[in-house]
Amino acid sequence: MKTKVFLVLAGIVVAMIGAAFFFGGGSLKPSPIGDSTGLIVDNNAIYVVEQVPSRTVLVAVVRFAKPGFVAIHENNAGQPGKILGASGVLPAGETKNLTPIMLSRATADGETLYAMLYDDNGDGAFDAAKDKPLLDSESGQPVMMIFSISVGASEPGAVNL
Amino acid sequence: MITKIMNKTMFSKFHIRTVGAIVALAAIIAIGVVIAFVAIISIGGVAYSSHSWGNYHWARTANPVTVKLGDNVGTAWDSYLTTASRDWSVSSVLDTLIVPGKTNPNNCRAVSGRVEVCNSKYGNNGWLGIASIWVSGSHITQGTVKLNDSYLSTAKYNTPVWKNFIMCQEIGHTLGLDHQDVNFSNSNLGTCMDYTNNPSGPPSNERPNAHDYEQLVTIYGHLDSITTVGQLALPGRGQYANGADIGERGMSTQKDSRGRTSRYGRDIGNGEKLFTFVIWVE
Repeated sequence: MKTKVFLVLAGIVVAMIGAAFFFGGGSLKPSPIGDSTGLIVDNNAIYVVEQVPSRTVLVAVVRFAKPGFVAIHENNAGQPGKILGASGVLPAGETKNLTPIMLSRATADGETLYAMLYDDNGDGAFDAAKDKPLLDSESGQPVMMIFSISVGASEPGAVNL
Repeated sequence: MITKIMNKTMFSKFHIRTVGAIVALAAIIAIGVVIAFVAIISIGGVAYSSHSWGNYHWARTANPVTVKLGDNVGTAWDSYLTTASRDWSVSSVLDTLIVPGKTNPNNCRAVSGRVEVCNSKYGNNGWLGIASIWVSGSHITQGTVKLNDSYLSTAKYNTPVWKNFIMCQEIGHTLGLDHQDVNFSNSNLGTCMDYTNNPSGPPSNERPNAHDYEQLVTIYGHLDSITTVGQLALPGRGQYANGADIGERGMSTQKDSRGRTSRYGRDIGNGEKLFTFVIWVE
């Protein structure tokens, strides 16, 4: 009889654990980023505010479908030119207010810069020859934020997509 | 002797069955409690939880407070701005008032004590709309809304439904509201503060719902001793009292699991500090 009681008890415990996993797992897990479109057109997105002249660039929000990099390009006749600096590898998902990106030179008042998203070829280190620009699903163009440098710029405390 | 043994055996059987029944009953009750708890958590997490954005709010000494919305949008957006302003003004604790814009929509700089609403082709950057706020402590001092016509002028997004949805949500952020739900593919909650692939629904996500107004009452349920509506702006990056470039000199106050700085504390003068957080969703 003790064996039967033990088996019944064990069965109930297993059922309880199963129920907890079933209901909890189904309802509480975070939604995968693959579901995201809408206000974010794509799973690759970036927002950079107007910046004051500096040796760094602050990226307010970036979003990757897969791990990748943000590279800062200088302006070359209205197109992205030489790369001035890049972030470390960033994870899939959304990152706000990431670590300032160090540049190879200080930016100047009135300058226009481009913050472009790149994929990671898997080595975790940025290399413009190996890591390719990510393309916007709507336009087919590289996902990038064009932003200006101005002494009158003011950094927001928080942003929300 | 035989009788004693039989009685002892019968007692043991009765005792074991009773204990077993009690244990089974307790387990059934426990299962019920677990299921109810999980159900409450999951429902509350979607529709009934707080969606205050970091407890940010406009400081004011009386309700209702009037938040000015600077009109920097083109004529194609005017009706949507009007609709959103009217909808948010239904709140018992705040009103919004459309006033002439004071900024260039291309860079959409913030103006102290108000929200500048702008539209422009901000590029193929992956976002349709974005809201920014400047804060002192938990008090909003100024805000901007940017509507990205690089996408919103395309056939897919250039519709009244999408424009109402985006205008409503971004202005809602500048009032201190976060999203009610961030899953794009589940059923609409009937509020513009709900991410969706299909804002037309049903139910439609073009406008605020009752829970948004309730949340505003909660956020603005207290009064402050000061007002930030119409106050001077906080100094910008590079304009701080100590002359520091915060991009280079902000102090790291928290590291993430990879050793990278995930929080900076910045003294921006006048006894105020700006904290910038890196939030890892994954």
